[in-house]
Amino acid sequence: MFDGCRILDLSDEKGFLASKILGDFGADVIKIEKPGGDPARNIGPFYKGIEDPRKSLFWFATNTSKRGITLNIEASEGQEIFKELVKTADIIIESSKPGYMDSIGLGFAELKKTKPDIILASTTGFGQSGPYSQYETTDIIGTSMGGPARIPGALGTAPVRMGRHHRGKHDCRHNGQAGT
Amino acid sequence: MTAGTMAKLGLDYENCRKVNPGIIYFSTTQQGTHGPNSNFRGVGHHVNALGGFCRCTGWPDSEPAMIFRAYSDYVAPWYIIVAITGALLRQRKTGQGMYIEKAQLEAGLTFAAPHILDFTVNGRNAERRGKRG
Repeated sequence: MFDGCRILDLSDEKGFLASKILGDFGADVIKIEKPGGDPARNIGPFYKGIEDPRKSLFWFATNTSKRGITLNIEASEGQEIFKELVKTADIIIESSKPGYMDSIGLGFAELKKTKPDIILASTTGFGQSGPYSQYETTDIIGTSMGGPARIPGALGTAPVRMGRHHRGKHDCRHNGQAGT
Repeated sequence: MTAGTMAKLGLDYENCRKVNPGIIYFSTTQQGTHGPNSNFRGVGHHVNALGGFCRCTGWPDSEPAMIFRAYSDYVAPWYIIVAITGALLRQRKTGQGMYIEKAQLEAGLTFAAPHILDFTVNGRNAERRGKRG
């Protein structure tokens, strides 16, 4: 259904599912990893229990329906390649800290010069502005501060976490929808 | 509606497309429109348990815990929105309608995909790990 739509996915695990869903529906998704690979490759479980970035089952499950390249978007040559890709793309999904894309010269204003109708979907833990915007976040922080961790579990016991990495997956679906 | 109800009322996709060929018709059921459990009448809480989410939520020495409310009710609609958006883009280009069907259990299971792989290749069931999730 999204045939002919190209997505450049720069995101970490906060965005994996967004581009995967759009890829499942027919978009051409190019996952862009930094040299050395995306840190989310270290999230388990792992194939045969071998803790290797090439054997992360979390990675496999959330990055199907994508092609992949490695690119250093902080280097000038990498930026030139990225901009050539942007010219062919419809949507960019990224999940870096607020201000990062601007700081390396790839903020929305700059990307629009490369492709005026580009759609940029940015996802963060706490938003692009505000007192928490520069805070690091993980799934457990999102589910705890958002409240869902308070609800599960037996009465009278401490809050528990829902079976793994839900916050990021919800972020992804919202992101996917925003992108469409 | 439970699978088959709209057909009984004469309001299934085939009948609706006669009135409007471009209609996008989305059917969402709990466990699909066919198969052994298609007539099971349940709510999102049942899907939480069937999808294995309760099993891996809670403390190791406690019973499985119910997760956030009727959880699949919060997961599945976002897939519906993306699918409908795609169908609408296609309809705008081609004028063609579309029938789309989704089982809520399957939508929920997409969140358990790493654990399904873990069971498939490692034979390991996700266990309750308290705060470690």
